[in-house]
Amino acid sequence: MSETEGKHPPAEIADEESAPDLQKVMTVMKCLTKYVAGMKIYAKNNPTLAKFAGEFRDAMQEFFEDEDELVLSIEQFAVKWQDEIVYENEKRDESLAFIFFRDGIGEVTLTKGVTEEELDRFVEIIKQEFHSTADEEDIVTKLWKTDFRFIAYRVLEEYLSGEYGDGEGQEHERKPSRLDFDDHEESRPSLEDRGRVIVEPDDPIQSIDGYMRSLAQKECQSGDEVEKEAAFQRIAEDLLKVAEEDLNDRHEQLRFEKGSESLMDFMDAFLSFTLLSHNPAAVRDVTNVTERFVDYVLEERRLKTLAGTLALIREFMGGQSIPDDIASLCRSFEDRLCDDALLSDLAHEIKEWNKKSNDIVEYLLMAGQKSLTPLCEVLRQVEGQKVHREICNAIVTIAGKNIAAIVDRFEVDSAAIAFDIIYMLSMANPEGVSPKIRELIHYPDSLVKAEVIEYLGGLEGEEVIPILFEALEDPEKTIRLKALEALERIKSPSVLDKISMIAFGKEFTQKSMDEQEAVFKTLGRLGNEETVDRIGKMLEKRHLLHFSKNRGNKYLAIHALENICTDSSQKLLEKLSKDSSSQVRGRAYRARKHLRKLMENPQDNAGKADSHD
Amino acid sequence: MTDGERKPDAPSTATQQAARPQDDEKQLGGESFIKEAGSALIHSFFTASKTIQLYELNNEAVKRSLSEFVEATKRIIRNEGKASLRISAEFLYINDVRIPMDSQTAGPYLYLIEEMKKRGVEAFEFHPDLEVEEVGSFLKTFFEIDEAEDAFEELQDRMRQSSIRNLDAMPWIERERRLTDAKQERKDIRSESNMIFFRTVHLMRGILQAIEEKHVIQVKKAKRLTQQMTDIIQTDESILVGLTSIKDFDEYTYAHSVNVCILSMLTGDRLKLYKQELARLGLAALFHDIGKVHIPSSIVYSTTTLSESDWELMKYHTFFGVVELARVKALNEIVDAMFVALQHHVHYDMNGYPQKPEGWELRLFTKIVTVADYYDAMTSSRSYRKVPVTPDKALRFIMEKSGKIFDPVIAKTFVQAMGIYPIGTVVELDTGERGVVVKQNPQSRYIHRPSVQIIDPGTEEKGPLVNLTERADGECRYRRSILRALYDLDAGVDKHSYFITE
Repeated sequence: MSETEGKHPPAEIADEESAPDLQKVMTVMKCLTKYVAGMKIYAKNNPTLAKFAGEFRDAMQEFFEDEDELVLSIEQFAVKWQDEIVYENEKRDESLAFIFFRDGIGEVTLTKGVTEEELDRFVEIIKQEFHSTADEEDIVTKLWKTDFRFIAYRVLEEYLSGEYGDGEGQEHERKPSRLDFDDHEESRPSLEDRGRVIVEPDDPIQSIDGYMRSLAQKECQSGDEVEKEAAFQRIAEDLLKVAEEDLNDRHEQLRFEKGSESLMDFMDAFLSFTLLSHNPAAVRDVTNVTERFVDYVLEERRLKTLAGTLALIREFMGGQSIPDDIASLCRSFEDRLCDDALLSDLAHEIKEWNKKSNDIVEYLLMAGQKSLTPLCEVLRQVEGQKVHREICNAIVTIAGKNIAAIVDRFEVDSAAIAFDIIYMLSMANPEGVSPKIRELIHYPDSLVKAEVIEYLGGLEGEEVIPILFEALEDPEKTIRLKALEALERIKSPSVLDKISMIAFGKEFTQKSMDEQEAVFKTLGRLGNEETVDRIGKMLEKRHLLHFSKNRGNKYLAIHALENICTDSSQKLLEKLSKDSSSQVRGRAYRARKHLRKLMENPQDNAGKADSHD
Repeated sequence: MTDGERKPDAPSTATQQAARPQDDEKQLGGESFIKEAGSALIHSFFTASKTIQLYELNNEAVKRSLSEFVEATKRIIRNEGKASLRISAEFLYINDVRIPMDSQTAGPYLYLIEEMKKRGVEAFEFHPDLEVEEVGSFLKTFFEIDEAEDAFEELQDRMRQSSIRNLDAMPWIERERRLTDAKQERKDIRSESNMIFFRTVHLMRGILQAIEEKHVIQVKKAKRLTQQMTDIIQTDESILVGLTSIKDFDEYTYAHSVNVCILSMLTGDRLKLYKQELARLGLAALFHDIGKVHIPSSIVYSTTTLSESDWELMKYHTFFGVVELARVKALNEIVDAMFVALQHHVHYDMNGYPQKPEGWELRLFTKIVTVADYYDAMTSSRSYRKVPVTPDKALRFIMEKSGKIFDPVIAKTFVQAMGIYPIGTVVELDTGERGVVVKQNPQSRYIHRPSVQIIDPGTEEKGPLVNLTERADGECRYRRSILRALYDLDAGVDKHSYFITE
């Protein structure tokens, strides 16, 4: 923020007497500028901000040591004190002067005795003004309603008539619009009149005092003047008394009206006039005004209003039988409120998950299908799991079972997008396996592949099997292990064949021990009588039974057998429990116990395999 | 200060202990709480003051009233962190929130102002540790001191002697007046009221011309003016209301909108609306008839009864109003006005026009503007009715149609605010004098006893200002009472000099 210091050195611009004070005012302005800037950056309890606040108060106090009033004249980009510039900044979005000036404030006066509370509130209002939006109150209203005791402002009419500010309220030529009346010659509103009231002076209406006097007279026919006066007073009190409850009802009504979205309420009330089909001129005016509302709502882009308008129009269309032309008009409003560019702009405002993002997503959800593209696009620009999840949830809600088609459109250029795709598919649970998943199983990031396998493991159907088989060939062991885990859950003969082929294949011994164990565990979970037989043969063939050699293979066998619920499995484990190796015996013993339990109560024990480990 | 924005002064340790709001109090918004709790404080202060002057400190009624007073201060301190009572511009403020005066609170309200002023006290500050005995001792002391120049100094001395520590009295100082000057150039409420009134009339003329020339309405200027009007109405509305009674301006077409704006805001003030709400109401009222600009002058100013088709078009000004207002860029600021423009001829019982295809709710602002609009229209000469209805008849009409055309609560409030002899009414007194009503009595029982500027019978110029509640010395009867209202054209009184500045 540029200031005047240096440009207008006090010695050059002021007479000797006012020079010290001018310096003080410049310090006040400098401190105020710093404090306002600090407020924009720091939290309220930040010590730096407290320091700035203190400096501003000190500067004010110093000024008031000699003066009673600080009267600052506001110009478009400058603040003056006694005709000397004490602040200057020509950037509209930064200038303290301009934020006062644009709302017509020509003078601000701070009076001696101003409290810290008032100074802080004053600065807070200035700060708010830098961030204010069109629908908020202007600075004059904020200052006015705060009722400062020691801070005053003066609005200059000539400032309000200028060509400044945001244009609101300025008198300017209006563009030709639908709201012009040139085509209104036939306007004959057929609004039924049931309430025309014209009172002529000679109508026999009693005056109110006459009426009250007559009541008093009735109540106190024979009393003297004093009694009649008392009767009158009683009547006046009774007649005009407003019950507290009635007053509260009116306040309640106002609170309700204030709390609601007034523009929506008006549109709600006004839209019904479009049903005056016998009055084309009125219908046209109403539709034009409604169109103006929609323009405004779209221009303003307040999410609450946008959502309210969309809901209102849909409700209006759905709630009653409306003429075709009105229905078509409402559909055109709906289209505009769900316009691609609008939805895209809104979606691109999402950066992280917060209240605003939530409101945007809510609105995009209301807009429905047309929001899918912007929502998908925006997934690329946001960071953080929460925001990704929320957007994915919205996409899933809108797309439903068509999610596969949506995710197939994604170009997966980051792990985050890959995770989003998997998440959306798992949330929507579409039929079949998305081609994207077949692609992702080869994605370079192992975490992505692991997530894909996890997802596939939860699916039913033969379709997933070849993909998981592919994963069994993955160069990364963690992926192969993950694939084995996933395959465990698929009770299919082809899976058993595949795992058996691996377990009893020639290349099996080239695998690491933990992978061998995993293969046999999987084999156990899927295995049957034939598997036990093959394990038995494996042990026989390799002459392993009863001999205390190659314990590794025996352990593998135990891993498989303990989960195969057959008598033959029990028998083989029994044999192994008589092994010469105490360690093999011990393991086989525990495995038998486990298997027994499993066989006694297969349901309860499902998934509790290896519990003896 | 608005709801939720109130920031109490940093409380002391003792204050912090007392400043823990109770759950039920937390529910109340800042300003609405203060207004309610403030009224209770004023009432309990008044009761305690009255009882202590009648009985000794050990009297049960005294003890009860003192304890209620202390509880009322502590309740405010608990919620707000502080409690102060201050006089400013003839109003009482609790913690800088103006406490509205109505017919039920006017007695205690005015009594406290008078008693504080007599002793040179501008404000009191109550501390969290305030005790019943301390208040008793203070009030005894306070009322023992008579009105005098050094009354405040004496009060201070005696408070020190009595060790009153949890209650501070502040002296009446000129600061308030100086501040007011700096704020709004309100040295003279009369010239301020005139300036605002005529500026608003001028603005309305500009707006209507601008519309004809296809310009957009200037909302910002109107907003600024209604905010200034709010300040005046909350200070002293008499001149503004008096100006509405002058119906012979050349620019009556524009003045009608301004009159309705003022009368609506006056009613809103009596309904205890907040100042922001009053300003919003004023803005809405100002534009209530804006649609008439699109009705041909031959219809608006027709001197004969309108044909059915012309009347149909006339009624359409409510729609035209909405269409015109819908052009304003900041539509959100003008929604209240659109409601009012559309609904101000819909009656409380839903008759009137336009009839909406389905039932709809009348907004509170509409109900207020409807009353003000009827009143001002009835009491003005129109193209089709040269002789207007007198204000007292118009008021009776409003009471009579309460529940039909008008919301009964609004109708009563309007009549209460206007008085049965509205400001500007020329009245004949039982003393044979004539006068112009210049200020209403806020108490409904004295609604027939306003303040009247006597008209000098010789010169026809302004005579003394008299309050009709004044009683003759030592007598029950009042010095003056109104015999009847004189229709001002008949009375031949030039009301301009009573309300208009040069």
